[in-house]
Amino acid sequence: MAVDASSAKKASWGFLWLASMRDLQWRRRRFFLAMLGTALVFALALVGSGLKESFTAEPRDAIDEIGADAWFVRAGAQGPFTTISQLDDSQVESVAALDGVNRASPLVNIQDTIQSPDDTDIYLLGIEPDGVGAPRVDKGRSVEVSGEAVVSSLLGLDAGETFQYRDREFNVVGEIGATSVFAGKPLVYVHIDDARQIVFQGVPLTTAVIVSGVPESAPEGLRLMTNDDVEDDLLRPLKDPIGSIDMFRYLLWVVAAAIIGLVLYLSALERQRDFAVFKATGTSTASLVGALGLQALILSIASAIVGIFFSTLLAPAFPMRVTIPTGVALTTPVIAVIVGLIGSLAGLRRAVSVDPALAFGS
Amino acid sequence: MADLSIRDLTVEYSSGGYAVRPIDGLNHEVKSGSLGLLLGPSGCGKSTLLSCLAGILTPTSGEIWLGDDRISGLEGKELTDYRRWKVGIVFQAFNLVPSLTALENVMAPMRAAGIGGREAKARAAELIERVNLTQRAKHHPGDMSGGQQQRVAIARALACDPPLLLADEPTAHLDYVQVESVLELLRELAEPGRIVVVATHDERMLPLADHVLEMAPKFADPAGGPERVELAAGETLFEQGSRGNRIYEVEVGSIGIYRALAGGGEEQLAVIPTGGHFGEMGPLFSLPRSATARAVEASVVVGYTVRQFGERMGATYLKELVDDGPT
Repeated sequence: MAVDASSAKKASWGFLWLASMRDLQWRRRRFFLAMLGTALVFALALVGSGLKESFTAEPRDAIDEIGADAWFVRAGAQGPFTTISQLDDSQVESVAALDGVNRASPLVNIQDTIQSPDDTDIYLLGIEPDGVGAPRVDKGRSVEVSGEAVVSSLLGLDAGETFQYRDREFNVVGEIGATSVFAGKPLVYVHIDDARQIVFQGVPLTTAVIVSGVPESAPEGLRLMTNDDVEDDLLRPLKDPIGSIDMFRYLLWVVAAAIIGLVLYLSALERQRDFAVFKATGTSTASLVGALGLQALILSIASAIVGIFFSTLLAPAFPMRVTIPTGVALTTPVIAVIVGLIGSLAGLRRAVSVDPALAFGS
Repeated sequence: MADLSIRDLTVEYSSGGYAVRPIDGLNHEVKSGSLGLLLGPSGCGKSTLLSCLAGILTPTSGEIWLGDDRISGLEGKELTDYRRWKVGIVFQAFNLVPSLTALENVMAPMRAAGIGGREAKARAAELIERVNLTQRAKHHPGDMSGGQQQRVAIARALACDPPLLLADEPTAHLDYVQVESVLELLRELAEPGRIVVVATHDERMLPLADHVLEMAPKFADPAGGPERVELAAGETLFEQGSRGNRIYEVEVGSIGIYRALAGGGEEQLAVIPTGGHFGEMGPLFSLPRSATARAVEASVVVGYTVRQFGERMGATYLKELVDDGPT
């Protein structure tokens, strides 16, 4: 009964398959429940990745939506979104006169709340209808006169509807994409006169000057910011929430590893005599490790696939837009395999340490 | 023709910090094509010897040879190969893998040994047929009787056609109807080119055996009266691990009882004064002495057989002694 090396290699895969698949079938309920639990954990981790991605992408999308090439704020201000700085209209003209600037427009921006249909936190942008920063409308038209508004689709108001803001009523005339800042506060564009009325009691002040073109310096008393600077300004308040999401995701990976590890460890405990018999009858320790490792692999990959499916069901239920990056979804099975193998170490160790003498006796 | 040869085999291990020697200087030969029986009560070292023969336990000293192959001392791949190709084991509790069918249980050692799927399946089917279980080939162990499981276990042990087949208490979990078919099968398997070694306490197997190794020989009650022994200070009456058929009473002086420690040296367990007695358990249960007895000072002891000691101490004394444990 001689066996050549290639056939031995092939056949020992046969043993791995036999020992692991039959055991998976034998304990199918337990493995199925473990797979569902792990899949749910993977799904939550994926949603966490989606939330992080949304937090990270949100400022970029908002800045793209506004469409300015550069920003000017009062010197000493952190940025146009996190510090309210007051500039007068004459500074818009001095910015417009700078080399490299094609156009300059005032921007009045503030975080506020609209009162109807429900109290909702929004981010107000007062713009000149024909100036830099005018919204690119998906539905309806842009703001032309006072009393009109263009809103983010996240607000849930369609063109033709109205909303109450302080003591005024605004007509929604257009809708932009699902754009927001500060973790889901939808952008609301109004005429700059309305914004000045709300923020500065009608005084012709501005919080920032936005330009098209490539300015190289700032007039005295102003600070020049690139879009990257503004993005950092928008992201800074979100650093802690993003860090918390990251921590939450890492903990979820640990929980997934713990579930897989626990199931395989229990399985290894119950199968100690099987392992002892396998060892006593000439099965190498490497084959036993391989058989348990294969179970971890199958459990992890199945959990990852089901987890990706679960995440597509969970994501729409979140109040904030959850965009699960394709790359993260594709690498989930790889991460799952690593997590599964780490989780299975205790079970593997148990299998390796089984004394074949255990097979003797009653 | 590969004969099995056991030469001066000793196994010693630590139990609760004390050195225990279930096998001490054992010599035995089993010819190829024969069925050898290891007979004795629980704890006499049968399973220990089987473990050594199976390559699972490394003896403390001595050698085991199967034909020209020295089994004791094998390591790594050689040991795995020995377990795969040279020895098959039938376990007391069957130990079939519950998730595998009867056929797959027989296939498993072959697949682990590197035999291809088709060949392993064909060979397993052949062996299942040989043990008359073709109809049950696709059943799991839980759906089979004890006798059927034991026959599957025998088929598994034969999977790689080993020259040495070991069976540990193969009839322990079987009723008398099942025992018959299993014994018949084991006898048949002791064919030219193969040795079958069965460890059992079941004396019904004696007529089947070609060789019998009594692991705990019974002592004939010695003739004559009590034996009087004079000991100088420090002189040993009996050694731990030795066998004896007398229970002793101290007539003069005192006797120390010592047990060997796992790391070397010994520990004094007790000193038996004049009038006290010791050494009851070995003769009572045909077990090796569990400690050494040595005179603390110049002493005289009187040795009695179990029957004589029982007569001397009263009918219920030995029962009480067993219930309460030795002094």
